[in-house]
Amino acid sequence: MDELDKQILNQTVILGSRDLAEAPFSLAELAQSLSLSESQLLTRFKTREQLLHEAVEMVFTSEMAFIADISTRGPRFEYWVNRLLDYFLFHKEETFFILNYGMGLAKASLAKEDLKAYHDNMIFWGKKILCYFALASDEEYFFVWSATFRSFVYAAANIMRGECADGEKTRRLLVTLIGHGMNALMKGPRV
Amino acid sequence: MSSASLSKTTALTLRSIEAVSHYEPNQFSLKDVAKDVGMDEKEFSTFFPAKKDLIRAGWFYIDNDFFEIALAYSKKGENFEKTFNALLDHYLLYPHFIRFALTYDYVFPRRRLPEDYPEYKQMVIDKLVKPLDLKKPTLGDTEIGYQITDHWVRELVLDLELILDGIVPDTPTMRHLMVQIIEDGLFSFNKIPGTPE
Repeated sequence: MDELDKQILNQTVILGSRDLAEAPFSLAELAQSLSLSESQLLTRFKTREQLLHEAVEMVFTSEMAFIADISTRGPRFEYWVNRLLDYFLFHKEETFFILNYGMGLAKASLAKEDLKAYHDNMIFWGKKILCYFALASDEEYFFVWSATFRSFVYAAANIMRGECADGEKTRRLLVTLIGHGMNALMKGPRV
Repeated sequence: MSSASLSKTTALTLRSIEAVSHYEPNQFSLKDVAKDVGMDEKEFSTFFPAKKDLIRAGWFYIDNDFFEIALAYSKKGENFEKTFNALLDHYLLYPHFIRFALTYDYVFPRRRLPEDYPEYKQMVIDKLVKPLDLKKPTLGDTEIGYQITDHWVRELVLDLELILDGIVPDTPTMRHLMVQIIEDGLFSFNKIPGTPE
């Protein structure tokens, strides 16, 4: 992958993060924003699907590598939650791009191979990130890590789009929901 | 609008939800959907003048259906797990609702807060958060109740999609895991003794 490939992928992330449900970005728009022709773009990435696939892979891998690095340092849980939330807030374009095009988030994918890869990736990274847990099976790693990961992405997205404020109340809610679940936020005995 | 045309709109909304659910996210036009439901494009546009009107009609229908079923099961069920399982059973019969909701429902955040988001949020609070709160109150204010509801509804839809896509098997063990992570969080799972808190 050369410098231009990287630029194309980075620009894909930027444009893909801005998509509205009614208007996904086009290859023509992407090419124009990079002062390239559409055919030049297609010599490097054969289809829009391939381009999106590689861009998702780039963002996902960099997010997971960061999280794994922080996690293996053994931080206290509250610090870990806040640090990860800060990461998603700081990487605004990547967060919205992964929301629009990442697997297992707000997207109904019909691509079985992508979903299988998502499942396997979540197990791979889940085992690294949840290194202080002894979960019973690969499926537990998949469920626990994928649910935890998306909680961060959704919380960051809700803060960045102004649905909730980035304050102590929101962060404390996230720490509790991720760590102890919604029962910890309800009155009375468990029913 | 007469009750006859109202029911025609509802029927058309249901057929359109199913049609849209077969497309990759956002990759459809009103012309495509009109053709799929067997209606002339011009007539179709009298019901849904723009793509956003069709999307709104879709999530509005699905959300209200969800509220009704969730509350009915919640009243019948003894606990969250039973309600959650009943909702899984119900929506596995309607996969197109799930595929549509995943991409277009406001429970899944997008970059821009939609203009009608406050209306959507109030609807969720009035029709789901407050009635459920009567059964089991949340600590804190309505906003906390809304965020918790938002969280578990999103998880339910995503879990349904995982089952529908064949990524995870639909077994009692898997269903219990789905509920456990929502109800009791990360620390309800086995931790290696002596590791950081």
